[in-house]
Amino acid sequence: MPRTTLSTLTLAAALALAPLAHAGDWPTWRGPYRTGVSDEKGLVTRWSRAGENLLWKADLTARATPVVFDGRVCTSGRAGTGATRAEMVACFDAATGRKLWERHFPVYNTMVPFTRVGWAALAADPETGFVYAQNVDGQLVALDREGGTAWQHRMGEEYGRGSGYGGRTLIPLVDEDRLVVGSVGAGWGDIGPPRQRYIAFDKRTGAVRWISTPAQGPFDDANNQASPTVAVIAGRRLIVGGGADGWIYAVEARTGAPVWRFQASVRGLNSPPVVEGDVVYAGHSEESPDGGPMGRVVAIDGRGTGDITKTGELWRADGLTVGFAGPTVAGGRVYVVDNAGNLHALDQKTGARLWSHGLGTVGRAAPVFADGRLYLTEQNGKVLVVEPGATGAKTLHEETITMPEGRTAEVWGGVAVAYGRLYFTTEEGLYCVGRKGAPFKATATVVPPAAEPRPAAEARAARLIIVPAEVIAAAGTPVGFEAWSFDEGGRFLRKEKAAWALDGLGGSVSAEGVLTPPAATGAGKVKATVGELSASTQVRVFGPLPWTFDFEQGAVPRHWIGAGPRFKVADLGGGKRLQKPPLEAGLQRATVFIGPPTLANYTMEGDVLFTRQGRRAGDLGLVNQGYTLDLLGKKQELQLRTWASELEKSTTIPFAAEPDVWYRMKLRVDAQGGKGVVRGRVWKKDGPEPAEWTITLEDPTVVAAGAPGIYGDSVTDLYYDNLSVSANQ
Amino acid sequence: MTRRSLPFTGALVLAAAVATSQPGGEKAMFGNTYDRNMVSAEKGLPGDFDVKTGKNVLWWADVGSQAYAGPVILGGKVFVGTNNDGLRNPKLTKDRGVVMAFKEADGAFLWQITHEKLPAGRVNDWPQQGVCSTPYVEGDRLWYTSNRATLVSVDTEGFRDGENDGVKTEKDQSEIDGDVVWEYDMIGELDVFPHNLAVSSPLVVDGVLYATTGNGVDEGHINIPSPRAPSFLAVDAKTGALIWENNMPGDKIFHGTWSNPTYAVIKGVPQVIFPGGDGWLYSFEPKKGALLWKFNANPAGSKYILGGRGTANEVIATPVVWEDRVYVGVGQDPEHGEGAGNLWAIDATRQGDVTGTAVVWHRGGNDFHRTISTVAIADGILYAADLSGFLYALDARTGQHFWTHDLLAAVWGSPFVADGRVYLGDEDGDVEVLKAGKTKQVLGSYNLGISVYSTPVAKGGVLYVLARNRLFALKQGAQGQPATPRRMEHATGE
Repeated sequence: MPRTTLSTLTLAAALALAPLAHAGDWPTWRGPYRTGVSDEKGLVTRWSRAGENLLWKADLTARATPVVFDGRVCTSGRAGTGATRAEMVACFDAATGRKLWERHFPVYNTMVPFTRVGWAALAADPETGFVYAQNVDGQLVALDREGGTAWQHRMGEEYGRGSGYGGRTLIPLVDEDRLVVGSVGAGWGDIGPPRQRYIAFDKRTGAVRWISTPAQGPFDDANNQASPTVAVIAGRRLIVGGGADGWIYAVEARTGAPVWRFQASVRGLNSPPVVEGDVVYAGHSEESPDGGPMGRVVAIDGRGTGDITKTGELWRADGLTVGFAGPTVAGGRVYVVDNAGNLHALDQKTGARLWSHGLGTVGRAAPVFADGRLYLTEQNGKVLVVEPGATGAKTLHEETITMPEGRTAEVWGGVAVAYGRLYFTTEEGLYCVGRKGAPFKATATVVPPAAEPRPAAEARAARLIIVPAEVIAAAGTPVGFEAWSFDEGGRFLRKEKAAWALDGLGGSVSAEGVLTPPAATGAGKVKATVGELSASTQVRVFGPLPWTFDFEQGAVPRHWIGAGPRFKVADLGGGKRLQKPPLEAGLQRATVFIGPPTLANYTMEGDVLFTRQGRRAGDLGLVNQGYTLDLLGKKQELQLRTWASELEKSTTIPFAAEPDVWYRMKLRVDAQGGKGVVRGRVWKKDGPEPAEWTITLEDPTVVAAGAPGIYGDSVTDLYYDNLSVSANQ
Repeated sequence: MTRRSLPFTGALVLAAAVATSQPGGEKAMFGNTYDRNMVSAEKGLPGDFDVKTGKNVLWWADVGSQAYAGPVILGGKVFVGTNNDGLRNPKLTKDRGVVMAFKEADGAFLWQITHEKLPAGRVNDWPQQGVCSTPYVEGDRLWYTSNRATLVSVDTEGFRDGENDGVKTEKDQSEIDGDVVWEYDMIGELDVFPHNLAVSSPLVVDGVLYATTGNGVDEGHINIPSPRAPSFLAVDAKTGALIWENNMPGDKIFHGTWSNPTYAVIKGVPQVIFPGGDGWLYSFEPKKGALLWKFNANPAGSKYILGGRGTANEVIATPVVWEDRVYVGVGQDPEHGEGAGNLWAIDATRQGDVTGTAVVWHRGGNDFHRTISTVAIADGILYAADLSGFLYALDARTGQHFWTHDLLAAVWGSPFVADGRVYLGDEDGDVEVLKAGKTKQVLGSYNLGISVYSTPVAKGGVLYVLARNRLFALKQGAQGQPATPRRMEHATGE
């Protein structure tokens, strides 16, 4: 920043005084109200990369809208080269752009490519000072003010969240004392069927508060991004999100109980809904369930219950392909950006199209309304300031951000408005734009709590949940549970004195709700009953290593994550084996996690056999701590990898393997001091075990801990047997 | 196009192309002729139109909710590839790939053939995309690639002629259903792994059908599950029997194989030119499939990067042959975003690896962006569009730049030149009309209300434009029904 003279300071101060009265933070990616609307005044309407109104720029690569709070601006992104490529979360001083801290997370057990890493914006919680990230590979992490890990989960390995290639990731949401995260996939037991789900965690500890599965059927594509929001509608506090199955769901924020659902599209949703008053505004760019041209913007009465597809629609605007950018409601208009980069204004009451205004060719980010203007981005490097009017709009300013090689920089996120400034990320850096010399003051945006009736003093308990939910317990280590009751509107009443019981789970539960788990691995439910109300939650208990699985009991262990209908136990060669037959529909690739993601430095072993049909043969192997040892039957190769789409960190060797022959595999990870050595050994089961490792991978940024699992991908039968997990010797 | 009229047009360039590459009877295909040049000798085409009032609209007909293939016009019929959301046969529900036939004179629906989706889902057969292969039509036969990665030969009359040709086991044999002559399963027979969708618009030359297979990466986008399966093949057009296959570029495919073969006789040498999924062009002797030459359409140092940000691109556009040269631009799946592209003029008379040596001219860097559009060359001027929405007019012989026009919207389809005009549709649903020539002159921009992802075609004085869910036939002086908002029966629920 250039030195300022006294006169410019005075001028700037004069300019800054009145207009910045409402300046505050931007703690969610859609702002303090989660609507894309800002109260700030006196914002700049032009700037330049050359320096005009450019306060600072930080070097980073990101595609998410930043969050700004507590005087800091934080974002997810991607960083590193070659084997150090990683998902990144960083915080900067919002005044100066000085980097406060930067964390890197190895990406593993996923196929999302590096250039799509860091797709989900962060959620910030001014109360705890935490920022929360859901990484593309399902790493969910709460980071404290200094960037330390407060708590973490692996959404895939624990709850069955799918992580395909696409990379679109649901943005976490802070609501009261919870962190709500959307998850699409298949886990075990009650969370076994492939569905859109929402999982609420205690925002301080990471303990699961509730898991909600409002979806009635399977999803279209796990790669979805219609991230949830929260609002009080007709006295009910609701999480409202767009599903991977094309439905919009509203569930109670405090219990997860499904309230209503609305089918918007026959395909998955990526445009995040917003709530204004009692109305939910949402868009999509695919086919609608009742026909019409592709794409629709819809206004839904959020006061309903049950399936409101036919009853809840207030208006629709057909033919607008608003597939990615969320709507913004301001001044009686709904502003939407379509996939082709056109801004449209709709009448908030009727949905009538008022005008359209071209921004570019690719629209991905939600508009932000502030100070009577719209702040927008277009994917091909553009940052725009548009003045909307009754009959049309005028572009006040357009700046195009380019990469050093000349092409335009990707801009996926929108603009954050905070402290009288604009903050946005691009492929080329994090920008802070505002009036030079204006005093900087980091104040919190005070959002008045939504009006919600208090539960009546004598309110009857209508819902019961068990806290914590979906627990992973260590054998023999007690876990205390509580039964919480809520009224008909989903409002908390009290902690109840419940009658406790176990269902399918060994061990015992006390009258106070303290579970003493069995001494060995097992899974089942803890149940609580209060009067006529009852609730249950799933518990998985893991005993100490070693574990062995020979399948002679004839069933796939029920506590495995993601085994679902894909795996079964079948007879082969006079013994019972784990079989992965070809699926009739859907992807053949499957990873099953058989233990918690907290295990580290262990060895996994197992027998594997693939079959061949014509030119087709299968691939199969073992997963250990984020590393996959894969016997590629068709290619006749052996591969050791951690991130399936970034093979710079992998080892592949030729490996002659025969179909219908049992091989034994051993996979060992040794992690120490941030680095690791991963070693695999494969040999014919009826031959002697070789003394040497067959394949080795050294990782400069080792996965510190990770779940054991099995992997398979084939249109022909695959078999596994005699699996074991043991501590490294 | 009717070739009979050509000698009278004075379009020497076209006549020359026809003389060398268009033997046999009347035929219709993507790009109108074997050289795939997006031009036509049609005259009297409409210079303006208004679908809201019906001005210069002969008729319009609804297709599915998405349509990317065709139209092709032959024998009094117009054929398009689309999905099943038009639900023309209410008994055939759910998402399907569909080829529809309409009457050329008035747009009346005649028949359709449908293909159920592959059970593997989006990795092999993306939902709702329909049949994306523009059929090749000759005589009473029509050939295309189905969404199931089968090559299909059908009777242009459907079952309306009261006959069941070839295959007798069609499930649906009403008079609005299609009559399959043969069907060749590239997945079952050859282990092809079509990435997202097999879309090749085939050619039939001297009784041999040429097509790309769609082979590509699996859902992880890095592994080629079937590197030994062919990208290019030739089958007997009458029987569907395999004649030859070639698995180049094997495991070098970046993503998928979505382009189309081009055929030409160049200096007396017949060639079928296949674009590979690795960004190379491969030219083969047509009868036996011996490689004549290959060319890397990515400059040295280009790199393909997973997810779309790299500098190496694929060939999704179709190569055009003109004056013994091959013209093609490179690009990527539009989902990968815009980026730097390359447009090449290549000498097609050479042998072997002609990378570098066969370049006549090249436009790239920031002067040409990723494209999936095919070029049009008329009167020595090459018209090329890119995904970023720019239309360029260049000297086809030297690459000299005449003008650029920004459509301000993404372009997937190709410029079409006829009757002294350039027609080009874009994602905002505008059909831009410009005067063909060295001087830029925009004649008008006419909105169809629906995105246009395909290329206009002309026949019998009528301009056909396939918008995403509706086919328009536009004729100077015609007054048609005003276009009403599109309704869809929606066949694709649970």
